Amino acid sequence: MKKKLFAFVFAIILCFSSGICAYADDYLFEEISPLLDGAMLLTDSEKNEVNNSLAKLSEENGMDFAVVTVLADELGSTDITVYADVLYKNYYHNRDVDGTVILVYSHGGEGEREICIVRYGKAEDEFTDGKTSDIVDAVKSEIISGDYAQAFSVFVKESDKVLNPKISWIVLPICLAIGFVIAFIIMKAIASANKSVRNKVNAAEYVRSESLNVVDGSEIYLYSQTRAIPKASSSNSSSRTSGGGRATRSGKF
Amino acid sequence: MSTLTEQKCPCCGGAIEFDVSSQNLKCPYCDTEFDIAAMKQAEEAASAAAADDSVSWNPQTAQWQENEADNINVYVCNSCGGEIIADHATGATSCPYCGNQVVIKGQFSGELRPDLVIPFKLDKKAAKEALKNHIKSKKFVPKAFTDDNRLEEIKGVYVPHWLFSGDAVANINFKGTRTRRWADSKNNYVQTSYYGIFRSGSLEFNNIPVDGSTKMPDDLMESIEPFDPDQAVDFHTAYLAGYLADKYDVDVDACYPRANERVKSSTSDAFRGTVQGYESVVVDNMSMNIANGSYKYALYPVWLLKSKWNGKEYTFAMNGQTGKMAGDIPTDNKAVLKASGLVGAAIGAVMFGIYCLATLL
Repeated sequence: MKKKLFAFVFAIILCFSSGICAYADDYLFEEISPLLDGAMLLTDSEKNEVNNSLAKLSEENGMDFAVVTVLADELGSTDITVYADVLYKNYYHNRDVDGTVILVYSHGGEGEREICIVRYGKAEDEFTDGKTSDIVDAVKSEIISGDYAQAFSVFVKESDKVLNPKISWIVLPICLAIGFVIAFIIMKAIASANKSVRNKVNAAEYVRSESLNVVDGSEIYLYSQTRAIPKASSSNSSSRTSGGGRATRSGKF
Repeated sequence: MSTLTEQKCPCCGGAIEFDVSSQNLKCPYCDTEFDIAAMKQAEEAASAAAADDSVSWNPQTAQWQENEADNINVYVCNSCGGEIIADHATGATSCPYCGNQVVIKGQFSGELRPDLVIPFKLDKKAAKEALKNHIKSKKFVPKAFTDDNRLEEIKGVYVPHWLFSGDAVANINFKGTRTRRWADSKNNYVQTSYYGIFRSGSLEFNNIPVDGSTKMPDDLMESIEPFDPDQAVDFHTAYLAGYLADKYDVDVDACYPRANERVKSSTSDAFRGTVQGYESVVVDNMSMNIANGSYKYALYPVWLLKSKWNGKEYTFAMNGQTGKMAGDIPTDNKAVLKASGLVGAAIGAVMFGIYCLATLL
């Protein structure tokens, strides 16, 4: 029932976004919650938690953050970025914020799932393709393990890290320790020059020059061995959406 | 017992020494110089006209235990009559009483006569200076060690060496590899091809020195190589004047293996250099024999310097021909740790700075 309701609401949104209303570009619907769980993946308490964390993230950073889940069947042939564009156009466009970040997750069986994070406005500068790709990968690994609440929590945490990078001071003693080990190896190598007594390995200084006489030589092919090393590649890709946002998507998984 | 010989100045009768700078014999008392060849002729004339040698032998009065006296010889200094005790290998030494330089004649005559000698080209002063520079050039040397006063002994010694020459005839099998890389959309591929490589031929070696004295550490003598045998001259006891010398106490047969080892290594390297176009080449197996092999017995000049620090003795050797110095120097471990701490802190700070920049940007 809830799925049918969502599909109906979304169809209405699509109709309006198709340009039927002349003032669609400037008209904002009433505000919606940051989390739109169309695929019904979360419990009520999980929804509250994610909603609160998204709202807090938005308020602290002056940007809008949203998470949308949709069933792959419902999506059909429609591109996942269209969802994001529609939401942005109708709920986040022209708001008094620095930018908007929308995560859309299309839920389905294995090989049908997809994650897409679309950035609008100034959020494109903060959330570069590389950083967004990292967030997509982090969310993807939680979704693969089946913990959707954790996946969206990771989205919030990683987004916060991008906007508010924190220096971990525990790295300082680690850097100093590594530095000491490197320096010690170098100093020991320098000190090893103090030992100058060693046997000669060969008699190179006593070879009569140009006395090498090669009378016979041959080179024969024996055999070959071939190794195949699988490429470690990220299937993430980034592109501009039709709605003016910058999208990074995981590809189907 | 053998007789002793001394090089006496025909002008004033003082003990003459071999002078490094002029490469002649020089009397330190009247400054007269004598050409080696001229001294030879004078000696031959003197021995033809001389009456019997004045040789005096002291009977041994002490009671030696079995084998205790086997390696000890006692001589009498012709200048002061003092007893000089030397081991069986000593060829030239100095009287402990009057400092007179003496050569034990029998040690370098007949079959024991060296074929060649490289005279000293550098004097004691140069040896001291070289040691100073050798220590100065090293890092993390304890400050107390650099004190000059700790130099306990410095002596010029002719060290007996066996010189080996010959042709190394070798057959060597190598294993070589070549690598090809390519990729498609899914994988990177690495193909390693193995080849068997054969080389046969010869390589000539001249005058590979092997230390013929048990008193001299082999690694110390090899560390101050090379000597230039082209500057060697025919042996004469006159060159030993003013210096210590030992005859060999390691037979040529015992020195062959060391020479063979070095020849084998150089032969393998030389033939390895003819194998081109492979990413890696290793020796699979090798057979070698020596053709036209010969050996000579030579005395090479070495300055030995001994220093004591922290209850431990440190021996340095300088090539008396080229000036090359070798000798292990102690390391101040506290200084190493202190430097590691300072440099490590700088490296750590740079790494942390890079981490901060990467995080914030």
